This record gives sequence, structure tokens and C-alpha cells, in this order.
Amino acid sequence: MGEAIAFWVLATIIVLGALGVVTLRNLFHCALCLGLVLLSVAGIFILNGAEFLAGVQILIYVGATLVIILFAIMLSENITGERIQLASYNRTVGLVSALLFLALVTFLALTTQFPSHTSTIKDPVIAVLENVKTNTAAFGTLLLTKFIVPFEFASVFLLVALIGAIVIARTAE
Amino acid sequence: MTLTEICRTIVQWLGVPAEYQESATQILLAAIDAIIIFTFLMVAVLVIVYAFRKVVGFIQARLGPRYTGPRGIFQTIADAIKLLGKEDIIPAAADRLAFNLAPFIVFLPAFLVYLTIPFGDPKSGWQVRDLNIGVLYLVAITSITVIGIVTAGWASGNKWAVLGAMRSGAQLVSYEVPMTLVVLVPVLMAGSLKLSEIVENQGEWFWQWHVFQMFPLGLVAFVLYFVCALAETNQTPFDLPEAESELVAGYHVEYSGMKFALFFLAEFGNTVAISAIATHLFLGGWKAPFPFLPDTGIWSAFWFFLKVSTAVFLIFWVRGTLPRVRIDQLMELGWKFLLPAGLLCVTLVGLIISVRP
Amino acid sequence: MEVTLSHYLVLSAVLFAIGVYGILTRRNAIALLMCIELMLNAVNINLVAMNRFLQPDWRIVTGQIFAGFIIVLAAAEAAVGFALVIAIYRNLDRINVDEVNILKW
Repeated sequence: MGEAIAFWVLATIIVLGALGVVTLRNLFHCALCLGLVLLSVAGIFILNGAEFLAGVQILIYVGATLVIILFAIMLSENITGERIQLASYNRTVGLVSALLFLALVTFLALTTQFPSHTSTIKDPVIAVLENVKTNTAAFGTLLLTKFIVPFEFASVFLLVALIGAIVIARTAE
Repeated sequence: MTLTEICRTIVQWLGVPAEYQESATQILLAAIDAIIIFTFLMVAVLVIVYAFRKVVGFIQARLGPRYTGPRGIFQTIADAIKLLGKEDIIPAAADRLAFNLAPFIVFLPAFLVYLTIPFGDPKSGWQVRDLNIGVLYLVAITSITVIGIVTAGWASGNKWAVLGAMRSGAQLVSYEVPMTLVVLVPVLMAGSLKLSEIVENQGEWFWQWHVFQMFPLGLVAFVLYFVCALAETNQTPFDLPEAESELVAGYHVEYSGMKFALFFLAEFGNTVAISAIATHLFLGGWKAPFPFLPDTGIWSAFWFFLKVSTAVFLIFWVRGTLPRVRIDQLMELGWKFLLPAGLLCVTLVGLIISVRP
Repeated sequence: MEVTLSHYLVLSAVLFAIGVYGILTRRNAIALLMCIELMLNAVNINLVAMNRFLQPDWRIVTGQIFAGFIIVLAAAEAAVGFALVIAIYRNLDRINVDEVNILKW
């Protein structure tokens, strides 16, 4: 019961916020609506028992990515004066394709029989999860045992992206 | 009669249908908890602002507030009444929605962190919610403040405000990284992100607190956390974005009246919040320094408030003594000194914990 | 009423469709990147919901790890994307993607 209330409240906020992102004319307001959507998605993660992921979502998406967006908006407009007013092009084409996509995916989602997952705690690779007590412990254990290769790759990838972003955004010396 | 039982009886008395009763109880409980925390925040800020002005006054060889009430104890109330009575000016070039929204985005994290900090022993009911991801929640929620500050600066339509907001945003984001790393040190020592377990891990004697464990790593971690938290909350010596003599008070130059009061409230709320977090992570939370002193029930709250007051006094002491750091010195300190130091600290602590039997 | 996997899947589809609409109608580079973030979040909701409903053991969090990697990659992509936007603005003084076409003949 509580989950249903929470789900419907969060879903409404997400849909309204997303509509705000794609239709508002003031770019800064779009960014603030995106912030609202990201916070509500963190709420959905908590509803699904992914509490560590919710904390990570707020820390990274709201605390860093949204800040990059706001800085990019501030650095690409005049500091004072007219704000950029966004216009929308190809509205009908966009609406029709989005609705077609939505109809297709909803139909697929509602008619597919999803099988239950086959990996269990008895699998040798994830038997190490036997003693974890919290979601964070499960996340961390799995990340550093079964998914260690993507984890290391992600660190190198982040380093590359960091250096690349700094080099691209630097003013010409 | 615990608060939960009171809420349940109220919900039943209101005639809520049976299958909604449990959810209604939880919602009512959450609302009452929020009101209690908000009241505590207001009272705490009243006391803290007065203490701030007296302490900084004495450090600066003057007396602070003296005339409003005996020894000036009503000064903060008088200031609050004055701020509430001021005209609410919105500049013509300002973006109205974002301008009105920004103080709330800045205030919200300062209020939300109090919902998970224990004010005493959680077993005696001094904590609103004990989250499994306690420390991660605290770090994540304080990172929302950046959004509010950047919005405040941008929405003011004033180039000095925008510059101040960008400097503040850069400062906050830069110091979030070493702070997140250093906060991992007590988490590693305790093996859990839960605040109550981190405090439980610190023993009964004061030399078992995290700040003295694995000497000198605990102490280094505490000092690094303190410096990063000062930068995170725009306190001197890192208060360049909001000092009155720099950029005309930076991002909140265009705010007057109630909205300025919200910024002020958020700043002092944040000060107490970081002191409370530092107390739990490093100074033993609600535990007494010696095992023969009582520390259950109301005594746990007593020890907690004593330690938080010490940390807040330390912050005011630093504020009254040190000069302000320039923005480039600030960024250099954050990236070139604190970040490597934090990384080294976490690596060494991790190594020690992994080889310890 | 019971909240099932279908609810989360439909929510994810709606968010993704709104992102698609945004990508097709917006021409400002920053707005485009924001709509991409919407779509990535829709995928994350999908993954986490499937992990919860289709994996009965709460300790196996493969879906959440996948979503975690998507968050990490989205952050990296946002950093590089917005750095590109700033560089383009600095050189061409505009960020409407229809007008950034000086390589065309």
C-alpha cells in the first residue's frame, strides 16, 4: 500500500518533470526540471531496494552531472541580458515517433512473459555473497568479484574522459 | 507511550480505513518527526548565532551583542524579526521562478541531513531514521547545495552574483572529492555505512575513538575532514563566495528579507550538521570519554551536544582567527594537497585493515 | 493495488519516449544532452526493477551493478559532451546544432 502511493507520486513527478525538460522554453528551468527527475528516479531506486544505487545516483547525477549542465548553461550564454529562448522544431514528427515507440515498448512490456532469473547463490562465482547483510555489501562484493574487469575498465575510462574533458574545454593557450 | 503509538491512536481516531492504517501511521510519524527536527533546527540556530557573535566578538577584542535582553541573548530573535519585516525585492532582470526557488534548494540539504543524524543513543529513540547508507546519504545530500547556490547566482541577473556563484560552485565541487574520500576512513574502520554502527565501533575509552585509532591516520583524517567540511559550508577561511567585501557578497547579493534569512539559516544549520557528522565519525558520537560515566538515555544526548558544541566552537575559533583564502589558493589547496593526502590516508587505512587479523 | 514489474516498465517506456521526443524536437546542444540523460535514467529504472522482480535472491544485484555502470558512463559522457559544447560556443558563438555546420561544403 505504501509502495503504491510512493510509486504513483514519484511516477507523476518523473513524467511531469520530463515533460518540463522537453517543452520549457527557458534552458535553466529545463535543467532544474531535470534535477527533479533525477531525484525522483533515486526515489524509484529506493522503492526497488537499490539503496546504494540511490545514494550514488544523487551523488553523481544531481551533485556532479547537473552541476556540469548548469555550468555549461552559464558559460554558453551572456552573463546578463537575454536568456536563450528555445524553440521546438518538427513537433509533429517528434510526437508521432515518440508515441509509436511508446506503444511498441508498452505492448512488448505488457505481453512478454519474463522468466525468473536462473543464477542462484549456489553458483560458485557468486557463492561469496553468502554472508552479506546489506544491499551495499552485496553490491560491493559482486562488483569486486564477478564484475572486476568492467570495474577496472570503468576506472580507466573515467580517467580518459576526465583528461579529455579538461583538454577539450581548455582555453587556447 | 512512544510516538508511534500516539500516531497510531490518532490515525484510528480519525477513522482511516483498516488497510491504509499502517501507511497513514508512517506518514503521520514522518510528518511529526520533520516538525520536531525543524523546531530543533530553529532553536539551535538561535543559540548558535548568538554564540557565534559572542565568541567571534571576544576573539576580536570586543564584546558582541549586549543590549537586547540580559547580555544580549535576544539578539538573534531581534535579527530574525528585522529580516522578516524587510521588503522582499526581486530585481527586474531576475528569473522569478529560479530566484524564489534557490533559497529552498540551499536550505533543503541543511535540513535533510538532520533526519539521519542520531542526537544520542538510537536505542533510546534519539534518531529519526537510521539508514543503511547513512554516510553515503549525508555526502550525497550535501552535494545538492551546489545546485541551489548556482541557481541563486544565475537567477539574480547580476554579473557579480554569477561570478560568485561560479566560484562557490567550483569550490564546493572541488572539496567534495577529498571529503568523500576522508569520510571513507571511519567507514573502513567500522566496516559499515550506518552511523549507529560507526559510533558503536568506537569503544568506551576516549583513546578508542576513531580520531585516535591507527595513529596518526585517524587524526589526519579528522583534520582533513574538518578542512574539507569548512570549505563545503563556505566558512572562513574558505568563505570567499559570500564575504561582504568580495564581489559584493557573491551569490546572495540580491536577496533580502525572508530569503536571505533562509540562506543564513542554511549556513548555520550546515555548520552544526558538519560538527555533528564529525562527532559521530571521529569523536565517538554519543559515548562518554570514560566507561564509568553514564551514557545511555538522556546522558547520550548530553555527551553528543557537548562534543558538537566543542566542534562548533572550534569552527568559530577558526573563523575569528584566520584570514580568507584567495580563490586560486583555494583550488590549489583542494586539488594539489587535500586530494592526494586523502587518497594516501584511505589507501593506508585500507591496507592496515586488510592485513589486520 | 499491487505495483508489479509492468508498472515500472511502462514508467521507463514513458520516460524514454519523452526523451525521444526531446531529442527529435530540440536543437540546442545542451537540451539534447539533457534529453539523453532522461533516456539513460529510463534504462536504469528498467534494469533495477527487473533485478528486483525477476531475481528472487536479494543478494544478487546484477541489474543494479549494470545500472551503476550506466550511471558512471553517463557521467563521463556528460563531462565530455558539455566540454565539447563549451568549446563549440567559444569558437562559433552558437550552440544550435543545426547551425554548427561549417564543415559542410
